[in-house]
Amino acid sequence: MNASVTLEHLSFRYQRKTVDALHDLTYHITPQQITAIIGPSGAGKSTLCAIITGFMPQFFRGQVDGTITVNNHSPITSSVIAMLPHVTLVTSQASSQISGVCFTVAEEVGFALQNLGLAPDIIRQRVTDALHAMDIAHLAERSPFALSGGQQQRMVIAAALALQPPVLVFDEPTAQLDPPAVEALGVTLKSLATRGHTIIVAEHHLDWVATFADAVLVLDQGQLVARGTPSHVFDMYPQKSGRPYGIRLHSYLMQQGICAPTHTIQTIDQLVLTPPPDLQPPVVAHMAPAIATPILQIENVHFAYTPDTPVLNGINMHIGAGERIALLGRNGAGKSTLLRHLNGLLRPTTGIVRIHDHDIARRAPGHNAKHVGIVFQDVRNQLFAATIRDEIAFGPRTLGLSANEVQRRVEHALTTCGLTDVADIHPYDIAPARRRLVATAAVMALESDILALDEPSAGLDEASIQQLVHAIDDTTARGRSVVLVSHDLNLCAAYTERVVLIKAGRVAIDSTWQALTRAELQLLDDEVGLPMGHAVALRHQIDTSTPLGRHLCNPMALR
Amino acid sequence: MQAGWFDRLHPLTKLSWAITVAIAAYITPTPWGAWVMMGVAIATPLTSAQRWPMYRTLFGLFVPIALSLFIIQGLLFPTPGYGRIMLGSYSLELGGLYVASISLARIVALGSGLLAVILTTTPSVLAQALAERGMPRSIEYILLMALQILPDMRQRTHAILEAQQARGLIITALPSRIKALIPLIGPLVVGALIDVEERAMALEQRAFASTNPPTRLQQIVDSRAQHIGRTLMFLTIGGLIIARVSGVWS
Repeated sequence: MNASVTLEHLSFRYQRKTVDALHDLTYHITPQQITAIIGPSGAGKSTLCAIITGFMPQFFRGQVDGTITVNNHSPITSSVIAMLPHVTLVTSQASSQISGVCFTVAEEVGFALQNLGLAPDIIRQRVTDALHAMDIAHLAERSPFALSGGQQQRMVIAAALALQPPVLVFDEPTAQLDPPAVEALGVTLKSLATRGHTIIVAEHHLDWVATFADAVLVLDQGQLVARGTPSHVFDMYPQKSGRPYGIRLHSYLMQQGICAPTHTIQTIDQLVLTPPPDLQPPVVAHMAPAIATPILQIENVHFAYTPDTPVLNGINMHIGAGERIALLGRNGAGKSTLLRHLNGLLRPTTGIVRIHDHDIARRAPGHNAKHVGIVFQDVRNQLFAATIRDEIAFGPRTLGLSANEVQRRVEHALTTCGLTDVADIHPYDIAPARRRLVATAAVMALESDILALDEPSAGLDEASIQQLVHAIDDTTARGRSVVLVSHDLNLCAAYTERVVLIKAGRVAIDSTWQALTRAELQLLDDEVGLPMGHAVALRHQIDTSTPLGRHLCNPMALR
Repeated sequence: MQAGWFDRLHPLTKLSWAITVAIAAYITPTPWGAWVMMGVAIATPLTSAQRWPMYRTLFGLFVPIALSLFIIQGLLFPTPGYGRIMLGSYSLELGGLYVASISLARIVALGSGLLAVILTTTPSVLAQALAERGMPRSIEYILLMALQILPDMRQRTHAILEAQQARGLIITALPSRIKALIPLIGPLVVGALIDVEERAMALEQRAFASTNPPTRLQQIVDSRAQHIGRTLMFLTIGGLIIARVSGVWS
């Protein structure tokens, strides 16, 4: 396999649109490498992925200008099926890529091969190989719908691998994955590139790009604005590409004289620490009151969906006014179950959850929304109104507020989440990243005592994350609390002060990020990984209470 | 577990068997027809390796129905001339019990025949068997998709309910439930519409529109004897219908 992808003055404009989604792109994607396509939401990344795999102009109608060749074939003049031996696409929403007609994972992985009419023995061998490559052979007989999001993602990648195309295109493959799965995906794609595949990945996760990509293209408004190796692009064009957390940390440490200046840093593993002998600890502003008044108390909460499968095994914790808490844990540790106890969607088997000293289980969840508002991960389950303004107004209206108060809250949420310019259009007419902000604004408008956000940064670009952070700042500045359930540990370390780790249905760690002991760091690393600075501290065996340790764990280092 | 005789039959043979037994139970004019067909249907699992799961399901399914039928018909069905049984202050009409037994026989014949097919044939094998007899692939897709999508939709509905309650939706009294319909149905419909585009892309990527004949990994065994058997069963069904409609058998 030695398949390249060549774009020459490639432009694409969707039918009934007045602006090009892609404009005059010329680039040669080198074979047997991982090429990352980055850029803000709406930059044209997904469009480029779709055009490479033959979806334009047959599936998505529009005007194509210029040329593109994939493994010496033109996807513009060929159908998707004709391009399958050369290139295949994996998109971010794994659940939507399940065919729906296969009853086992093995059938799903071999479905395309069956449709292409390959011989049964070849199909069986390819399915076995693909399942092993994605480490899901043990799931072969499970229903595709019974898998977790991460497992489904691995299954759809296995289905793509089974086709054995020389070019594989991934559109935001890490969006649904936890940190170990993100890392594993990078290793897998590296291995595929080594074995001769050409890998193209559209991705928002800049640290993943910095670690695993060989080349980076930066798109903005459909145009190619920067290209080169990751270190070249991130060093030379940070305004266009965004800054990976690794580079932020490196820059901070350089400013403090802890790290030598270099322009070749790609990953945190390459950091060499040379702290001056008189290094002073950083002055860290507390984001929340030192002693926060508890507004929600969870006392010895046990919960089981069925009697023989306990999920929560005696949770004790409290949430104080104005606190920012990162709620972490492996998939299946009980985070989502605990989240549903905060507003009474689930009621403890034993134990009690109190908000302002009232048992939360005594009221319907809808009544508890003024105390605890939750934004769930899949925002499609929330949005229904004709305009973004109406969507945000729905919550305050259900609380029975006056029209003036509803309007005040809507305008405030629109401004805080940067949605004023799109307030009167349909939520599905904006980019998915901003749609997540709509869901956040809709719950923010409840002005609940606690705002809980489940994976709020999944699939968000840099600008949207900054808007999200602004919303979090605004919430806590008003004395309300924020609980983040997130796989993005750097985001958590940069913008929360307290970390709660759930392990096997119990609170295994409840501490501030700065006060984590080495044993706690090790446990956190084993369970969910660590933010960059903490990882460096653990790797170099640096005590987090020393000035150097404090600098490494300083939230400002990641901002 | 080794497959039983019934398990090894071609899916269309099993389906034909279930349909024949059910139609015969309903169409034969004498009660004996229904009772015999019920006996045949109940005996069918004996030829399957799945006999005990089948009997457990049959028992759980039909015993409550039987009790309801006998109690309701026995107590409330007036049948002068049939006599009655006194149970304390209650009287059970013998005629009512007779009607209940015929109704039960027909329900059991229909249900247990179909249950035998369902428990011994995977949906994909049944759809494959139908596709091999000329059913369009699009219909095969819709049939299989419908079976899989229902649990997914149920989970989705639950997730929507949680998401809306988490932002203040109250669904306790009837008026609030009526008001909740739009925020609950809206995301379900919009989500389904978005899924359609993404799933269509996925099907393109899985070569669903390929003009090549698809490879079937599972070979469904058929035989001349089964073919003759299916023909005879269809002839039997046709004969019963003609006899009943023409008044020969009334």
